[in-house]
Amino acid sequence: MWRYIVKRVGHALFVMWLVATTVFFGLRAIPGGPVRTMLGQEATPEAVASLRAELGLDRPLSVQYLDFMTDLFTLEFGRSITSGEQVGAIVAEAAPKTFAIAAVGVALGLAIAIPAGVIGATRRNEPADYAATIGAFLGISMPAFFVGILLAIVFGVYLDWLPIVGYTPLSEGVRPWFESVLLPAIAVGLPYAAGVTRMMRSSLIETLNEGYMRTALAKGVGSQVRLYKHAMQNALIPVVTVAGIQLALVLGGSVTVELVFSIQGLGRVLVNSILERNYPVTQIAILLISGVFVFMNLLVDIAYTAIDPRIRVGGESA
Amino acid sequence: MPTDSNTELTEEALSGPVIDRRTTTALLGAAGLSGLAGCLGGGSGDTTDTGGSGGSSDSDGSSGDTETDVPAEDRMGGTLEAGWFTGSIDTLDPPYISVGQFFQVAANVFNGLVTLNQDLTVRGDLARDWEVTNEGATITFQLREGVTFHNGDDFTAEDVRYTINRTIENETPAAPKLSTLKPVDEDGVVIEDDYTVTLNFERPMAPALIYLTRGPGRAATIVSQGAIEEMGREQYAIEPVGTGPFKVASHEVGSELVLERNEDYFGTDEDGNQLPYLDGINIRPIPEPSSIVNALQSGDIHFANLIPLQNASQVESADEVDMLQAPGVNWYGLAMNQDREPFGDKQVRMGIAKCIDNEAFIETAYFGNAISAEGPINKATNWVWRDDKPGDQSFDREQGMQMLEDAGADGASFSILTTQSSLRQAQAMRQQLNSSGLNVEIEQVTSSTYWTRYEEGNYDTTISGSVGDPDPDQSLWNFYRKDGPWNWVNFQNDEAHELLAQQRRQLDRDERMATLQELEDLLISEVPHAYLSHQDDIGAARTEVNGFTHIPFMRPLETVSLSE
Repeated sequence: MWRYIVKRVGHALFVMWLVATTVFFGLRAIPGGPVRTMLGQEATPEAVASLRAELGLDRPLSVQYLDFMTDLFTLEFGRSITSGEQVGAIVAEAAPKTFAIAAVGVALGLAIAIPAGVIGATRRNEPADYAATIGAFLGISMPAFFVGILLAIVFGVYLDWLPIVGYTPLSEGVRPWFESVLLPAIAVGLPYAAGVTRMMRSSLIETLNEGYMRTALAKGVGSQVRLYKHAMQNALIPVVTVAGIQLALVLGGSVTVELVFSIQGLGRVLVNSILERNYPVTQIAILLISGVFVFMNLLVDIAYTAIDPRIRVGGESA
Repeated sequence: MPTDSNTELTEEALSGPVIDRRTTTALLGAAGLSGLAGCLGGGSGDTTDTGGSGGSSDSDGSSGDTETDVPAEDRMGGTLEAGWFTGSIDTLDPPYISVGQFFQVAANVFNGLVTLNQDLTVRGDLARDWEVTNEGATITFQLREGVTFHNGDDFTAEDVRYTINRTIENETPAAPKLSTLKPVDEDGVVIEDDYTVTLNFERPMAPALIYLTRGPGRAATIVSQGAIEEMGREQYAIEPVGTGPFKVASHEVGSELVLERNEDYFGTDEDGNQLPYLDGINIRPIPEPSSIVNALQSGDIHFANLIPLQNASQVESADEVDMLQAPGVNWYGLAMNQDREPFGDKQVRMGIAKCIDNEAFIETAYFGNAISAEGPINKATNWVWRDDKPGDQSFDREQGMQMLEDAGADGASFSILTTQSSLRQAQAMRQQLNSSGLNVEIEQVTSSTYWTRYEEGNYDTTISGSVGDPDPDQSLWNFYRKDGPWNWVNFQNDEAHELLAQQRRQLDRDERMATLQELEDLLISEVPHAYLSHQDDIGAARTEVNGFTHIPFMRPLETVSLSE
């Protein structure tokens, strides 16, 4: 088991290095640079040249790459090219917002998806199942930002129940915080719920048809125990996989939803920094987001071993 | 639509105080005297429009569509929730600002030596008065006494020297505005005493004062040496210390900028009440068009500094929200790269210009929120504007197509370089040109790529212009001199080059106006750009916002108050 985990962690670190390197060279391969964007039309060519030198952008790429790697290992992230803020501070301010939206979104999503999936599977081809399936299709078809705009118009403009601009930190009270993340969380949570619902439903249907379920029925196990102990435990494995992978959807959705609700989370930081060619910020933001992914997948891998010992054994022999 | 009040106001304000002091005269003088007038009137009125005694009549005329007058007793504090149509306000350090929306904020935190009136004339700000001598090459400023920075430091002539020196020495983006100033150490800035300072220019510089205004000028927007040295340049750019009506309480870049009332601000309204009225302002960057409009309608924000043009009609029809609209101090035109064929040929450029129906272009590209441009001088700078500019470039598709055919450029193929944000304009342009038998494509790139390619001359055509010209010199000087830093169409014209130099030397405003108009006529006939439009300057506020004076391109909030 430990060998398996160590190996997985090693993989994860290698992936992170690959991401860092790809991002570094990829960013610099796209045309345009930060300096002109920053100084604007009025700047003289001399001013542009001197700022490039000041930012170290005139040095050979290999030197810049080595510097970047050294800085990463010493956790020295540098400063934003446009605002001069510490990149560490920017990301530290932005990340909690994205994670708050994602966490509430996932919690809401799972709270909807699991019961909806179970209902769909156990009352197959009944009205409740159709309702769940149609809801799931709508959820999959509507991108998060679209849901976000609808929510903002309905709950912000017409009903005026919830704020639609900005993020209130948790330190200012749980209620204001929750109100400020609720709409964005619903916006990212609904498409997420849709994907998980469908997986839950089909996986459970498949499991319910397994031979051991008939055995359980034959030996007189009660229907609740059959469903929640025998069937669910097995049906959950693919659901956990999908729930983990679908986190990409939540984080990706968060980028656009942050724009809709004007929340300076990781997504908005990332989009702005890419447009401005703000290399240091883009690099760290991407590393952080991909780090979360890699880490979540690592957790999913490890969670399998808890849910299904066969995977642990298989992993060791592979 | 331009407001009528602006037109009337301008005539009056400009012709009023020019009577005596022929040396200070016209261009510099209108401002100089009205600044003085405000001061003689007991220190009142300086921060709204100059008013009161002394023959200046600015404030009477200024209550146009964009200003709401309220009785003094109804003016109350409160905190204004404002939305700024940008992703983040990256820098508030004046000489480093290259984005109009950023100095719209900075102008509420800082003061310049002078500042703009609603009609784009100049009045005193940190300078009480000034005198122009040496045929316009020397300006001596009398500074306000008793002004303090937000950190408590006193403001003196030394701060002026420090600010100007810093702007130049650090090669900031605003440094070129002071390019004609003598070196600071060699009489460029002379401190006569604590409250008197003299600027010496290499040669007469008629638009100099415009470049010393807070906001668009920003070359001499007074910064605090003490604060910069204490917190460092990076931090100062985020949470700067100035002398202005509001001070920065906190700034989380991209999320929220919190401004607080400056209790010690020197400005007062015409009744002598201290400004600003508001207790504070929370500014949130909201870069998404529908979000900023929704936030206005829901009351999450009271004020939006800019309304995306495609949403203007939505704002207009919304209850409880008013559009704030003023003529823009900008111009846009189709830039045609003369290093590329067929644009080296003037006849081709003129042919293309004549094939463009400006009105139809504006309807499509700006939803009608612009006025057609015959030349580059905008209507907000009313003293030099003409309603009857030469119509060389006026729409006449038949004639235009004939000219293209004569030049052998009919059916020419080329592309319009554009960014996402001006894609709509490019599409409207393509529609115009392709209706004239040309074969035009759109090449869309990101903004950083755009600037690099435009600067390097790696494009056929693009829609370009100047976003803010409180004085025509600002963009014309940079665009059309032979070595101008923005001369990216490679326009090489001796006569234009000469006229540009000449207008800078002319202190008499009538003479300068004549030169600028001669220059404009020349530009219209030489077609370095096919002139298209002056885009309106549009913001919006909820009905509870009172007292906003809409100076084109600026968002001064010191006279704003909130009612229930």
